[in-house]
Amino acid sequence: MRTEQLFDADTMRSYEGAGLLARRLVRGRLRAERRSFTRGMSVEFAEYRPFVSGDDWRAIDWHAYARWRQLVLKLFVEEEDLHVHLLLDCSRSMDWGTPSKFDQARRVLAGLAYLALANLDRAAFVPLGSVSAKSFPPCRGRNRFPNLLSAVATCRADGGAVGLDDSVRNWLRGRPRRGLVILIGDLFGAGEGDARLAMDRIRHAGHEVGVIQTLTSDEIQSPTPGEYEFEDCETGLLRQVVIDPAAASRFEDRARTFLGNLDSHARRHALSFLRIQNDTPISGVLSSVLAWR
Amino acid sequence: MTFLAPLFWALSAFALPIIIFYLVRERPRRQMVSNLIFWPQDQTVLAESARWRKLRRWFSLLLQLIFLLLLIAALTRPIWPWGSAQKNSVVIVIDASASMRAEQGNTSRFDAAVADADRFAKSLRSGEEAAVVLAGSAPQVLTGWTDSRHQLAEAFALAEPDTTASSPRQALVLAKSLANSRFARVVFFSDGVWDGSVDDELLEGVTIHRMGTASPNAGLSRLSARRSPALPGEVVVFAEVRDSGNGGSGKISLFSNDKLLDAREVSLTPGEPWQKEWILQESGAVNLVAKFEGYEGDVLAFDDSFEIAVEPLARIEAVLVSPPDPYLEAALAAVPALEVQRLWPPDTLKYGDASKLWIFQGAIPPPDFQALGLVIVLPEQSGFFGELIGEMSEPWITEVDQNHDLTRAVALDRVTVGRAIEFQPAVGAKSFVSSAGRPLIFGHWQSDSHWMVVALDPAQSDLVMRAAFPILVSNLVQTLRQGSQEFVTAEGASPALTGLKSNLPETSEAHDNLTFSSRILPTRALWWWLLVVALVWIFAEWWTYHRRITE
Repeated sequence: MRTEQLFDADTMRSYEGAGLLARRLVRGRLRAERRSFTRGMSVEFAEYRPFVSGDDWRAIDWHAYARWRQLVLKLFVEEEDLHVHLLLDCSRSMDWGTPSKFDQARRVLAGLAYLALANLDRAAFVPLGSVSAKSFPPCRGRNRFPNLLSAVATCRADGGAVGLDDSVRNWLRGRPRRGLVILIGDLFGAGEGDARLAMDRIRHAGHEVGVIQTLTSDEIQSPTPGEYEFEDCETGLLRQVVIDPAAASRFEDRARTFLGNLDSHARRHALSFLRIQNDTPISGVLSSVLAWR
Repeated sequence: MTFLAPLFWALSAFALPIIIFYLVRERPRRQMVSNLIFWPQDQTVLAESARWRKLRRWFSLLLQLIFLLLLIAALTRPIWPWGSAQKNSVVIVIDASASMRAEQGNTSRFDAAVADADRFAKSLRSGEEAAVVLAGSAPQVLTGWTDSRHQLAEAFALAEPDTTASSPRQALVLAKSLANSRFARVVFFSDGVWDGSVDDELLEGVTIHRMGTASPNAGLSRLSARRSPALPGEVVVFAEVRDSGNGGSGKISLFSNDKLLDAREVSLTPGEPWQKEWILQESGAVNLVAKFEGYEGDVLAFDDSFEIAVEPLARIEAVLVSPPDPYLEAALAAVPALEVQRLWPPDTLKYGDASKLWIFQGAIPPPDFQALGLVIVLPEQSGFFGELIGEMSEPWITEVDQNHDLTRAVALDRVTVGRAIEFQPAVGAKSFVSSAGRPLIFGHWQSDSHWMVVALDPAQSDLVMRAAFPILVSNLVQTLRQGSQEFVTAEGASPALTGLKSNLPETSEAHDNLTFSSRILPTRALWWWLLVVALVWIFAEWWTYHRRITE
């Protein structure tokens, strides 16, 4: 896929000035537009601290000394950059639908990356489970966006039979800097609870978690009654299934339960969660992400 | 075992597609899916009890084949060895009397009878024959023996109800004679309202399917009219209304040439007819319509309106062969139906004119004279009419034949006669007016020839001055006008028809042993529906099995 197909110039301009909002204070590397728990130089007052030897005497608040007859330092909130880790599920199940869920996910990811870079945050791209693509390390500055976009465009949905949780665990082994992690994928994983385990694992690593689930309508609707031999596009596994009204009903019950569990899990742990279809307009998706609180 | 409809065995060909449907199984459709997490392993088709499924499959096939076999066997109508294989022919008699026009619900009794007869005919077994007789005023064979349902249906389509009440006696006699030739039975579709009763012997062995139930009815039982014999310019109208014996009231309206003449309320007394007579002054054609309406619960509309036509007064040309006689000429000219011209001398007369009335006075017609009617007044000699005997002076009129159309209502007892000639009438001549046995007016006034001799002298009699004279002349004219002397009558309703009194007992079980509503017709229909259900069932079974819906 060409980079223009992922993120065109018009979309880029429409999101100038918009920024991702992290709900918690996170630790960054450079001064940016993001509040940090590190005290530093800025205009926003944080607290007073008694002057100790070695402190910069220029930081003494003489007005406070006049009032309290005690030397104190005035501390300010350091504004740091936010690390935005964009995790893309590259399993073969993502290459499904028209347009494919993978293309939709890549477009969303490109948009989010641009939003992060335009906001002086650091953006990183992590293709989960991909055997060919490599991670794009955290970068900063709008000028790095084309490189990141190129990495996303060349990525393929060629993942093996590795579950989502395993892929996340592999990524966390590299001790990525804590920040906002946005996981984009169909969340089917290796089983019904695989995606929830992956989300918990990211959460426990101290990241703020956002999840965007991409689906196609036929994935949660039963085919017409009849006898089928289903082939799993991810594993190549064959399964003969007889669909009658009862079986179709059971299928749809399972799908509803799966989606409901994801919703309730996200609510319970205050995760930002968004479910989109493969044909949902990108602008609408990005607007919804920007509305996350 | 024999089969009445062995052609239905051809349906056994349906077994082939059924077996093929069971043998041919579609391969499961291969379909790629993004995941299988919603299709757990325990829902796969290859369950453990494959043997039981196979058994169930073959058992289902066996059941369907048995069902098809039974259905075909039913349609072929097997005759068991211990059963009768004799064909059962039937003579269908449909009552076509006017009472069958009575409306029962949305249809008339006659239409219902024809429909029932048609259904009955269709319920006959293959090869069974039927004949159809319509019992109207004269029995009519709509179709002879046939086993063609199409021909029977065409015969039923030809059936029309009559306009008068009639007795089914002749039709039943005809039907029984037809039935006896084939040991067939007779089925009679009737409401039992007949003109006169029918012998029980005639009804014996006849299956009567009763149509309709006892219902109130009132209507015109008679509407008749004729020109007055005395005054042909007058039309006498007579109407009679009867009801079914319950009493009640209605309204009768009489129209003459579409103009309302009279309208009056009619109160009907149970058991007694209501009668009324009108007199109209009309010499032209008269179209009379009488309508009776407003009777509550009336079911027979047929007898509520009658229409009759009275012909215009036809004038007869008369030639008076006589010397000038102002009295006689004036008297004849006063008769409305007569156009008189006088002719004298009679020398040129030779053959006459057969369309005219010739009146000779003072002359005798030549031999072989053609005339519509010939009146010879006071002949002075013998002739073909009789032999002159002598003269009578001031004879008294003692006898007038009131039974003859010519002299009916002619009162001559006060007529004086000054002079008359006595004749011995010719053989075959009849004396209409006589004096102590001596004929004064005689002749032969029948349909084959009309001649009359007036043997009295009009100049010495006051006959021309009396009221009897125009009556006598009018009678003469009326008798010459063929048929016009009779009443024009519309006799729509006999008492039996108007009353709608059925000759059958009210309890239908007594006669209606046809029971085709529960035995014959539904049997055919049920079989037909069974066939449809079987076909639908077979295909539905195959479809559901094929798509593994039921497993």
